[in-house]
Amino acid sequence: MKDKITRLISTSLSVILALTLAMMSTPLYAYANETAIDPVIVVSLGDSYSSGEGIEPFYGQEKTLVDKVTDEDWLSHRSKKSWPAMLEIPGIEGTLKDYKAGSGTSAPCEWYFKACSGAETKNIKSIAMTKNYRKKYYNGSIFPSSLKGSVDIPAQLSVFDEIGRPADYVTLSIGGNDVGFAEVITICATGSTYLGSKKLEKKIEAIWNEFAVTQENIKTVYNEIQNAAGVQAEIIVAGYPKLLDKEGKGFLISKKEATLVNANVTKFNERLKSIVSECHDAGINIHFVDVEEEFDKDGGHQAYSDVPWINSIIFGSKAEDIDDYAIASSYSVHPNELGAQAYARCVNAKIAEIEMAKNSEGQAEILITDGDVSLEIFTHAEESEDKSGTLPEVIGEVPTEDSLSEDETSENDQDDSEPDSAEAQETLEESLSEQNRQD
Amino acid sequence: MKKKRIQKKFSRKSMLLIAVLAVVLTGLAVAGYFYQRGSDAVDAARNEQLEPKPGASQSAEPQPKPKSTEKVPESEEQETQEDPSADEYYRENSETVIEVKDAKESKSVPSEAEVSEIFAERGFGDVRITYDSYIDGEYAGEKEVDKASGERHPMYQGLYASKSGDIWTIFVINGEVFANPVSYNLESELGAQLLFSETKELTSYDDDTNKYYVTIPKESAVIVKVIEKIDAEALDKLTIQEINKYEG
Repeated sequence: MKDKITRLISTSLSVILALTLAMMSTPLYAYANETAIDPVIVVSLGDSYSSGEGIEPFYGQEKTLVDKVTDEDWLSHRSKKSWPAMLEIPGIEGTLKDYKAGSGTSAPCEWYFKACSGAETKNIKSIAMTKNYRKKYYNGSIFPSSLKGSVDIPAQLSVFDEIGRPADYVTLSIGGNDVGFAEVITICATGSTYLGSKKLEKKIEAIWNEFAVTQENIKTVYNEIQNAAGVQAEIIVAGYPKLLDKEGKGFLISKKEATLVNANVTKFNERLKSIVSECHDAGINIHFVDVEEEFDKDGGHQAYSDVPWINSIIFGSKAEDIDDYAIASSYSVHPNELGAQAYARCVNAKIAEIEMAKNSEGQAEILITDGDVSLEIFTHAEESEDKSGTLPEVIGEVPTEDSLSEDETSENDQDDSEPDSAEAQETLEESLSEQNRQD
Repeated sequence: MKKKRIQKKFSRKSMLLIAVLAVVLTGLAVAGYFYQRGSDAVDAARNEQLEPKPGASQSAEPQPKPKSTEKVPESEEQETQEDPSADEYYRENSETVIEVKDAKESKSVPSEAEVSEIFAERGFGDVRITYDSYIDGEYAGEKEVDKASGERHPMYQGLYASKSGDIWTIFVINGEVFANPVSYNLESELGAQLLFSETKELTSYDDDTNKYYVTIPKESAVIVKVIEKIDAEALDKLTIQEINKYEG
């Protein structure tokens, strides 16, 4: 009896040992694909046009004042309704808002939201952004007290230290604060053409005189994003919409002034597109998304239009402004909720395009269908300069006996005395061999 | 007999050895599997699939050609009409052009220190005062005044928020003070900008010619309200409703 038990234990342990050794020799990534969750990593960087400035609620908004002013999300005015929050990744349910990093749960996607209102190129690369807050509060008195202070928001690329692995997508808009178009618009509203204070052309000319530096900074940002995110990361750069209704706003912003500002936004977008193209040609996976056309639809949705998707200039502060003493609200001249949706439509279309292009690269599929036509063989197009997705090439087609007409039957009989299924099988084998050679 | 006993002992030892070995290896394999799950091997395999193949086009999309040429002309793209000269503009928009004078020659142009005093004594001491032209007319960009500087500039301005929360732009041009009720004009349905002045004449500055134009404007260009003194006290009382009633 003892011997039997001993033999049983010995056998069991030997089996365990054998299985263990077998498992260790199996390629690990196969197991990773089968059982592990490798989340899609999406990082959203940039300025206020990416953070969702002006679109409440902001992350952290629900906190008390004392906690709010130390909350990085609130200080950066990162909105739950920003366009990055509305992005969809094919194959992942929901939108990025459902996968904000830090929730602590295992998920198929992780979204790191680091865009910050007011950010310039330097704040992406290396320099923390200092947020100065000045909030009024009433502490049982009719006179308000002030809560003042400053917080440094780390340079946005530092997020990749936190993530610790390559990203799949990086989205951003940047450069608008470097050039300062928003300030130009404020001048339109606060100045006086008759008194001679506006000097719009000279201000815009000064912007372009400095643009070479801004251009280099933007290019550096794109390169540094790729270095941090990895060569596989798809970098999506969103442009800016025209800001003012083409008719202007009465005497406040003349039609001529509106035209001047809008023309220069278009020029800026052209420059951004050109920089992206240059970086793309140098090997960066980077794409430009033009939003002007979307905002120009139906007569235009700029600030002061009939159906604006961009806020007008708002003087005085809003409750969630970080500076209650500023002359104008930070919400001024930023996309509202409709504007953010417009941005999301454009960027989602780009993501879908990118994913479709990936799926059409160098794969072979064998599709066998039951029914009248029982076998079709496809190969995808060879990699070519034009990746518009050519139609698949049908190599062999084998009708079943039932689907054959008399004519077809007689035709086939003429061609070959062998059964059609065997011919099809040969064709299939030939095409597979050909495909293998190509691979 | 001895042999049998030895054999028995050997098989127990070997069993124990196998048992220990199996447990250790199983443990190592499980630990190693979870470690490798996030390791470089997995990432390398993933990257290999995602990197563009040599020789393939780098483009994942057809790149739209920019509408303009690569080197964008600096000044030609702006869709603006030819601007009238200052002479033409004020001739067209004024009832009367009273005087035209060179800014550099004027003795009334205050220095940065002097304009800071002007603002302060009118209750605008906290206002950020800026200029954007040098006395010779050259564009300076927006710069904030230095309260200790004796440098003179043809035009100064600053934004003031009144007690009622309305925004005003205060201008000092050749020593004369004017005020633009920004909040009022933002909501106004008047056909022209409304400005407050201490006289019915306005002094305007043209940086192209570096000249002052003293004019009485047409109402189609500017609606002028005359007030005794432009200071914080007066502007705090001039809410949007009060401006609508103001007769001056």
